[in-house]
Amino acid sequence: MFTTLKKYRFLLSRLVKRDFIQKYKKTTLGVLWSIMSPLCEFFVLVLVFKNIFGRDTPHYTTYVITGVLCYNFYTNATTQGMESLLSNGAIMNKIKLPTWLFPLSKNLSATLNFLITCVVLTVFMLIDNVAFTWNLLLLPFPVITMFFINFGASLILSSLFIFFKDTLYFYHIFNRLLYYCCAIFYTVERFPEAARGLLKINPVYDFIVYFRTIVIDGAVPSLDLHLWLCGYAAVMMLIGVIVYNCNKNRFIFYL
Amino acid sequence: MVLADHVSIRYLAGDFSDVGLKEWVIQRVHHERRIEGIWAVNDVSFQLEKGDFMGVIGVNGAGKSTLLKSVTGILPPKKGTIRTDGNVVALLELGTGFDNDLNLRENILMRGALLGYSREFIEERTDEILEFAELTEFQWYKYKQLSSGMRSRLAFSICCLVSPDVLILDEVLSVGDGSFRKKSGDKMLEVIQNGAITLFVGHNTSTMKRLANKLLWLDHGNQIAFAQNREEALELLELYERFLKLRAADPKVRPDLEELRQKKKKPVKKTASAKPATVSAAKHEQAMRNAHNKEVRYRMYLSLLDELVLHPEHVAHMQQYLKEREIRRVAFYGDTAVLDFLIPLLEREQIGVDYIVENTAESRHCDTVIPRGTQEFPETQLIIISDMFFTDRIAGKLPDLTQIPFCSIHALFGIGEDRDEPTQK
Repeated sequence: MFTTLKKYRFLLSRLVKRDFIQKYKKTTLGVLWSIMSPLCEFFVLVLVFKNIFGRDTPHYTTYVITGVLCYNFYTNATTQGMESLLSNGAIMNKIKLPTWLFPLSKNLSATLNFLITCVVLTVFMLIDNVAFTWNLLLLPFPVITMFFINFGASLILSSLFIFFKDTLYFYHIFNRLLYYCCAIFYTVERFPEAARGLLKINPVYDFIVYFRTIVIDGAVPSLDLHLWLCGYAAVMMLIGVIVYNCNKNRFIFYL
Repeated sequence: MVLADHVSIRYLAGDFSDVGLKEWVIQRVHHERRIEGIWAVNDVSFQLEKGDFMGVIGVNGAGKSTLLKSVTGILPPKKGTIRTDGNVVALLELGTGFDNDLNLRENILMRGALLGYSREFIEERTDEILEFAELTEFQWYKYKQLSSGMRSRLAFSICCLVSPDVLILDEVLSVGDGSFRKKSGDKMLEVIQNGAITLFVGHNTSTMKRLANKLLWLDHGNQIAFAQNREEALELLELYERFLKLRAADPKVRPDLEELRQKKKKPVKKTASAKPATVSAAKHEQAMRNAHNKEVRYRMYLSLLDELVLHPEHVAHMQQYLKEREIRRVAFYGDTAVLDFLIPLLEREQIGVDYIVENTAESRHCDTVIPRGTQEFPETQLIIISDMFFTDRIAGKLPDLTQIPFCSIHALFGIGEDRDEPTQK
């Protein structure tokens, strides 16, 4: 696998570049949109919920923006990953190459995109007077585990999507549900213990909590949270690789 | 080295690729899932060493393209093994795989990357590729702005100039206008001399006579013969030509080498059993239109063509059609499979053929195709469209895209209704 990666690293860089070119090719603002769209979403949320949840939540703006950014990271990566195999069908039909490179490249560009949007986060931390601590250096850890969670999910979804176009619609609904299960704009303190435990099953929620613990509280997240994230990454990758490998030889008939 | 050891390839066909979740569940519940495997290639073996040029011959549906797809590794064989050493570069179907919105340089880089080459390797060769394709002045154009001829030149140049170890070519794609045809032939020779293995699918045999030292003959997926050296290959080509003549008289004839050898001296009898063809062809055409499954439709289309070419009435219609309009050179657009039928006929009439091939794999399964880029062929007087469903649906759009009159297979051979009369802008 690593030799393949090495051989195709040029392809990966081209694909990531192409993603960026294609995404913003006819827009005036270009890459700025990757910052603008979560920003707009964030403003709406703050506008609507500031008075409901914001009163007793310290640093509510930072709270919301971490949620929005982290959630968008997950949906962007997986939705684009899902479509990556089918949209490159023409190439897969003609050239022999490891097809998992397509979901991988989409995930790489989504991650890059996420890192760009983190600039916004920094700005809001400054505005919101959040203390910068050395703990911020821990942030690469959740991003890396989240990358693998996304990649695993992309492998599953993209394989399914080749066989069933319905996957797209189901996934949109799923994402909408997920959105409300991530505590993006509300706080969980008022929830009973059991409900909070349920939320923890959601890896995106864990990811967001990790971010918030470091960014807002300036504390080191618990060992539990580290293990959970690692576990999710491992499980998602495992399922993803199995689903992809079982089906990869059949893709060609469905393209 | 390329080694194919008792290779059999199964192709899936049937009700599955357009099936949504609902249909899938229904089919599962009612046990109505009609997926049939077709053995497109059955027990084929050959071995190629450095510098070999293997021609692959056979009539439509012989499994040529499927076999080559398997050699590239896209379609793994169900039984047997295929081993290839080194980089395999295939030029089987044209059109897609390039990015419409990137310029030529970026597209070359992209294609090189897809083939697994490094940045340095491709960047070093980009200028050379552009120059060979005679596209240096267009290098900043977007791919979608190119004409079809330019596209095929670009694809061909990339394939030949990345010095592949194994090169797989479809004859139709290696042509352009006259001067480029010569150049591409020379380039292929150079590639062979540099030790590459070439696999070549062709519809007429002249290139193979010039270059082939191995020859594989397929028929209905079965291996009829594999010629191991040049003498054998030439002999086999001769037998193949003889077989094609026999087949023109009787479409059901299957190749039998011994019989063909014995027929060597005898003149071929022309005993075409001319049944009332128009009726059966028209019926056939109607049935094809009603077929709901694309795969079935395609097969019916092929047998319809068989019928057309073999019946003197239809051939006469074509001759008259071309004569009336004083046509000496046509361009051909659509599925390459049809070339098997058309080229011998047109050659007999001494009519030149250009190809406007675009996306043949998809035209096989799509209902409408729009030709463009005919400025590449200044001498073309008529475009023959061979897509199975070229009808009124597209007729309205076409004249905007090309100045050259066009006609469908239906109009050319005089079947179906009159809707496909050529349009002159």
